[in-house]
Amino acid sequence: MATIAVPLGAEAESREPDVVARPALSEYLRWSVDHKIIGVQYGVASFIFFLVGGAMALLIRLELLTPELDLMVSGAAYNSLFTIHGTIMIFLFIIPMWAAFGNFVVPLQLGAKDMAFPWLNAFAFWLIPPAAVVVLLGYFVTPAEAGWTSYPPLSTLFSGDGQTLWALGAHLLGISSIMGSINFIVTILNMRPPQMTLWRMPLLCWAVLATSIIAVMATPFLAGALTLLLLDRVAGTTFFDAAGGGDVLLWQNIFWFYSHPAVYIMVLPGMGVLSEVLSVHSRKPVFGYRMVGLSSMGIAFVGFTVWAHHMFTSLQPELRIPFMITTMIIAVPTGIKMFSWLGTIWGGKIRFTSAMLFALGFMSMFVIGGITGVMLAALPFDIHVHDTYFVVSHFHFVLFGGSVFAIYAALYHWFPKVTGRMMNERLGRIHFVFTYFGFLFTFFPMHIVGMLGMPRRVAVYDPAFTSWNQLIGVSAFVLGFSTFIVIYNIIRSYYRGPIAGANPWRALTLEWATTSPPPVTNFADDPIPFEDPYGYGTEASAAYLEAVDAAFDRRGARA
Amino acid sequence: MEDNRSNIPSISPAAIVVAAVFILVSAVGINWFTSFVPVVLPPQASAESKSVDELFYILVIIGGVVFFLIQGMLLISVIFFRARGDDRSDGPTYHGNPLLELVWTIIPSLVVVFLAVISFNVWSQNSEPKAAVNMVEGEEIAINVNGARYAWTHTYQTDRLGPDGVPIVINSGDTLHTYIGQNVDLELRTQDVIHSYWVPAMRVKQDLLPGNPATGGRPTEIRFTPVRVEGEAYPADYPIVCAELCGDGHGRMRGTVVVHEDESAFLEQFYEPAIHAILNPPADPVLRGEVEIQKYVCYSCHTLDSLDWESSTGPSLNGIAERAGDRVPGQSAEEYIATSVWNSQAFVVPGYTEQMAAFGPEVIDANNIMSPEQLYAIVAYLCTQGEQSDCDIDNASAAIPGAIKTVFGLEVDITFGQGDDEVSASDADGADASETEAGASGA
Amino acid sequence: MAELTANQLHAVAHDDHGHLSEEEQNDNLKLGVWLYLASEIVIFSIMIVGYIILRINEPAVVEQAHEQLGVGLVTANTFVLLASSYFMVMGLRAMQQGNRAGMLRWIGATALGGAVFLIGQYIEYSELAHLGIILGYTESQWSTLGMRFYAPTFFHGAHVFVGVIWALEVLRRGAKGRYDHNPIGIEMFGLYWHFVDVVWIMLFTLIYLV
Repeated sequence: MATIAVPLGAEAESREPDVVARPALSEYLRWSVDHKIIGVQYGVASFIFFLVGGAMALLIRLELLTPELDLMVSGAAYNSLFTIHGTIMIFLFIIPMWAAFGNFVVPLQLGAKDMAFPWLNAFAFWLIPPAAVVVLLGYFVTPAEAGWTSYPPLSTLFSGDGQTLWALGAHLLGISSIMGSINFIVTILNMRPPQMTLWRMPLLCWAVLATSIIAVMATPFLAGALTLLLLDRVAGTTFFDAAGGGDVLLWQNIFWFYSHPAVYIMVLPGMGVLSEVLSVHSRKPVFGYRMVGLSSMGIAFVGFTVWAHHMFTSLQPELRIPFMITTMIIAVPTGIKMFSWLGTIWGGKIRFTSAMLFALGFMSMFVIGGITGVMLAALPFDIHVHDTYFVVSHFHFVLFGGSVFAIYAALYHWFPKVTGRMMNERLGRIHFVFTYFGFLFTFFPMHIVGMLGMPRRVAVYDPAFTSWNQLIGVSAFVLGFSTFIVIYNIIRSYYRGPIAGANPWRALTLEWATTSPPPVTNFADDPIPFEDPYGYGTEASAAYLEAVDAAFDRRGARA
Repeated sequence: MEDNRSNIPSISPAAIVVAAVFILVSAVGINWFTSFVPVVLPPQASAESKSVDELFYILVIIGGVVFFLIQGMLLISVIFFRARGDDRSDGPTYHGNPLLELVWTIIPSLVVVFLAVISFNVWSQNSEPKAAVNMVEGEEIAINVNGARYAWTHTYQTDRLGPDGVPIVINSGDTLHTYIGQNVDLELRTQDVIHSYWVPAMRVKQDLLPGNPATGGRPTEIRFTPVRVEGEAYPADYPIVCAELCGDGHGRMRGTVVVHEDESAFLEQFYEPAIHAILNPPADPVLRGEVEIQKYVCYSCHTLDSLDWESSTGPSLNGIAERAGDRVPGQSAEEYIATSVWNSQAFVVPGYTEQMAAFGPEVIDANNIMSPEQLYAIVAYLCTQGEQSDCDIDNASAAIPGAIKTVFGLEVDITFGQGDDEVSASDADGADASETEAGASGA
Repeated sequence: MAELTANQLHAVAHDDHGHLSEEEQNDNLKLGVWLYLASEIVIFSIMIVGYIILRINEPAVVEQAHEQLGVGLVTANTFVLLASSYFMVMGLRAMQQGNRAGMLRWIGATALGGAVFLIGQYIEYSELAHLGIILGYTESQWSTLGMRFYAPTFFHGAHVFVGVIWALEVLRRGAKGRYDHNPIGIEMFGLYWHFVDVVWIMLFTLIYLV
């Protein structure tokens, strides 16, 4: 079978596609039950929180330029800074950012008109702003300063009212996350077009399904733990107070039973994005589709059995070994994904679009997070680096090198669908270079300071680590600067970017088989998905893509 | 499927060359990285650290192979499989290869099983209980570590008897003294939040967990055996670090492990002088106070230039004697200081929060027990901090019964130095009774 | 295959395009409620496990409380709740048979059962408070019994309360004829109510009987 020539990318401009009306910007500020509006609302709100959390990270790095306490008035002020940084990045940035892409893309990929429960969808989003206000209100009393992990008794007997507000805010965000996830599961399971069996579903949908199952099963643990924490704080109970018959490790167990799966809540959708982007931009089917889909489920399942590796230095010694084994096992499905993606791009026709660069950047950085993950699973070594900068580095390689790179890939990939205009590719490449190297030089040296003996969450440290921390600090500012490039790109492209047309990347999944942006009902009729969401290189796919073009971009000319 | 398979891009000679170069680079790279291991890890100061570091080498080598394999394949892909010029074609329709997928499922599985097995071996080897721990002069003694915000306290329950017939307890503050070859086995307790006792050079770490004080707390244990480090001058110092967020001063919560060259050096440089100091306390209350105050964790929160303390968690103690008389109406300077030491909550200096632990003869925590004599000495010492002291040192002993009443609401009248009840110690000039009390309660 | 045209991209729209059919919507709602209840189970199990730990560690305290309290009131209460679940089933059946008035009566009885249960729980709580068993930690013999008892039972009581409100809403909508053709709203409420009932049977067995 000969390879099929299909025009791509650059030709989008020359085809002069139709300009499609976009929703007015004011639509985005109002209550709306349209999943596309809600998706953008999630996206913009999360991105704003990303900027706030990022600014806090830069303050943290400023403080750490010297080994003494100088920028902050006290260690407690520093503690509340990283507490809120972590809380914002996890609960207000990454998790809702995936809700943004899930909301916008998943119903379109399924050829659905909307999510299963549009009203619930909107409600879940509108819980986020008040929750954020509640968390940040703590700054006006005594801000939470027990870290995002909020271990009692530091978070109960030794913290101020800000901690109560923190717990209330986290509670609301958890409820929002559960509602959103129920919506995704029902939408994905019940609203596929009849031709789309589970095994023909785009991999983003698989990933969102796995993520949502984790969220529905795990987030209630957070809700339960926070309820008990709040009772301890305000009602005089002693669930976590040893002097009153409670147990401090109870919190750690329940909390990590949620929070470890939450890591996969934050990463699995990114893995789904990667499968989409790598396949489309290297014009080749996803290698081992079934294994990639199943490995999402595998990660979701095994992810529930590893929680206590976060407690290797507090758990009874004899209980540590089983968790070491499960933690190592979870590397296997992750490895399957990594190799499958390599198989996907291997032998393809790679286009170096910005989306593709970030996807490749994900693979290149996430692998480091994966390797250090296995190292951390090795109990004797973990004992040494537990709660050090090695761990800080590890989870930033997973959550920044993984999730954030995937979020950027998704942004460049779906921006044309959301706004109808292309992003500037040259700015995208510059953004990638600054982000990639800024990230690498910010977080890689953290492994070394951690191993050398610098614990995490300290404002003052051994002066021996000063030069390492200065290297990290300077790189962090490069990384911070890179964000302004993408903000400029987003704003500029929204108004002045080239018209994208329905399918600028020549992709086969259904979200591209409608105008950009899609009409309120998404599709004029019930769309029929192409038989294989990643069947690039066949005559049938070429014909399908021609037909999509004909149906949308040149519709006016033909009529 | 057959015709799909014909679409596998044939590997060009150039790709083979690149692959070969990559294997070479990764071999050199891993070698280069492991040569840095002494730079990226602290000295190997314990027997445990050797096996942990060996495990680390293996992890780095396997991790390095995976790292270079994946980065190499990525690089090969982006060099050889990029769409060039105006190439608008699709790649081959190749959906997968079950054999290959099986391979990259099974090989990583075997690798993690291997890693789990060797990690387990290192773990069981390191966590095996040792005989003859904490040997000092042929006897096992108990060494306890107390974590309090934001300081470590180490206490040695010696087998020497004081003049009152109670074993002497050495309090070495934030410093743990040991010697090469001593099997150290510490019992860790916290008096407030969770802390984590980490000695990077020994590769050991253990959380301190709050337990119910009424049932003896929830002690945890940490074990290591110091070994000789080549080129090290003894006694050698290694840092102790708190690794679990414990609040405002978490970053400052540090200590030192002092490894002496052998047991005789340990006895000569630390053990005997410490016991001697306990048996012969200074007669002058001010001098004694200077010794006593350093046995508690005051330095972790307060600034006091005379003792080189520097911390802003609590109010500064510089010039405290000048201010003490004005703090609480109706309280003399010495009364105020005595009350504040035993019950800091009685008056919190504006701008600070209630973080200070309770000290006194009745507190449950062994490390915070402070007898009236000790309080007297400490008050006497603090009364000298300031140019124009309001304090009447002679009156300090009279202030103490008042302090006790304020703090504990005790019904008994305690008269300093008479030794007629359980709270007061028997002999003001004699042995350090409070230390022995601490030892008894700590058991 | 290459003959695909634009028209073939879109199937001929079936019955009611732009909206979900009633049947599809019902399926979605039922699956959604099941998922919601699954997440509720988790929260309840955390609290129940908290109680079980106490039961294992300090059996004497629990037995003492059992002796002081007896199970008369709570057994009656359990019976009321079980009965209300039966009323619930009858209500749904009545609506499925097109008997709106019957449905209103049965669902009304369900709401009443829930309300009686709450009153019973209130009386029980007052008795417990009288004995000195309170939510917070106490220095008395009861120490942590209070919090480990009140957390699951109060959380359950709150669910019953929400259920009663929901039942009243079902009555209001039912009276307007909203469920005459599609009783899915009653069915969803039924799932919830049976769930609350099942949780209570677990709590009753664990806390009062074992």
